[in-house]
Amino acid sequence: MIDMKQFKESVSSKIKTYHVQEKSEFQDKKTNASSVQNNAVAIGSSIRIKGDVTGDEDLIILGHVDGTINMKGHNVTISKGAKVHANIVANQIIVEGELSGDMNGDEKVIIRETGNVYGNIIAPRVTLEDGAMFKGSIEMEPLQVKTVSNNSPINITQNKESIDLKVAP
Amino acid sequence: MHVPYRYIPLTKLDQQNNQDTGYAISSPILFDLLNGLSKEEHHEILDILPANQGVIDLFSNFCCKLYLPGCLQELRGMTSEKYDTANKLHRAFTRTLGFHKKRREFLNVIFLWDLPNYLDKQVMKGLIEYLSQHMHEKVKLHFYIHIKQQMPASPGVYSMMPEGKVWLENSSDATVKSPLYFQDALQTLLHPFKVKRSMLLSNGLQEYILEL
Repeated sequence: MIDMKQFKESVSSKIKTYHVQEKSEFQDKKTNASSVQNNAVAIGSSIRIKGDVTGDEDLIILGHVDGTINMKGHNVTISKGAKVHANIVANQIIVEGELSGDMNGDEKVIIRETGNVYGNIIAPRVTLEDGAMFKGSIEMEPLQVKTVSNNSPINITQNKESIDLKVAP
Repeated sequence: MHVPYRYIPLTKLDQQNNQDTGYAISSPILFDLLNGLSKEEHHEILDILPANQGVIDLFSNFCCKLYLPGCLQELRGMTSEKYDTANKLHRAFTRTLGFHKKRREFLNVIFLWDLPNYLDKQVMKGLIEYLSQHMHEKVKLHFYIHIKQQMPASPGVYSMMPEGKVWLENSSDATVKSPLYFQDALQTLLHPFKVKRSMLLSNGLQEYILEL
């Protein structure tokens, strides 16, 4: 498992360089400046991580990550050009690159027009911009969902109406 | 108790909004279907069209799991010659829809849009058989059938709009012969589903909802 604090310390010079460069590039693109915290850390475009990534700050991924990403309470951004094969837990998840994996967003998940996602989403709010590609399932309002056993059918309210075929004139 | 069908006429605003890219149609059965979904219960919904914000926004009001496999083209590409056994078809559907036996889905709403017009009959039968392993007993199957001799060469791109309207993107001018499914043929094709309601829409589509 990779702890982002240790990871940052061990490669502090690289990280700091990417942090400054990529934040600047990111803001120049005017993609989601409002969602990016000042203390966000970036995984640069030349970095490949295999393993579990955890941390207590916002994360911007420009490189490749293969494993899991757990940044609960913080935001994760997969930038354009980044490739991620991981399940992600975070507060807000923004996808501009490629993601293969499930996303659990406490607040929301946004797939930008350049985003390409294969996986399942659990989040109260999901935004899919025009041009974005998504294949998978979306589970919404998870906090209000009653616990239902998969083995027992669910009763659904039905319209009380004639079962006869009616063809409108 | 019989509830009279309720048309939702297009408003002037809808008509003004009709653009070169597409147009809005009223879809009363879809409207009633959505109105009939309880907001207290959990729903599992399958939409075979590519994911779009309209369907996500609409179902964000419900406690639901929305399956968006975006498999329209893959399904269209299937032929009974290529997938000539039930096993081959089953594997192909698992690959395209992403449903697995170990994780049972209980779909209670399925949107096929106008796909039944375009699928190979054996593939369509196979699809229903496959989905039957993942359906709730009170599942509702919604789709449109082209009732003119000629239909667009490709399935339409539909987006749900509020109040039971559907946005239909313009297709190319190319047309193909329509299979012209009538009720008996549909019930054979989609066995064990039975037609519950049907309505002719203004643009030459017949809207259907089927139940088990």
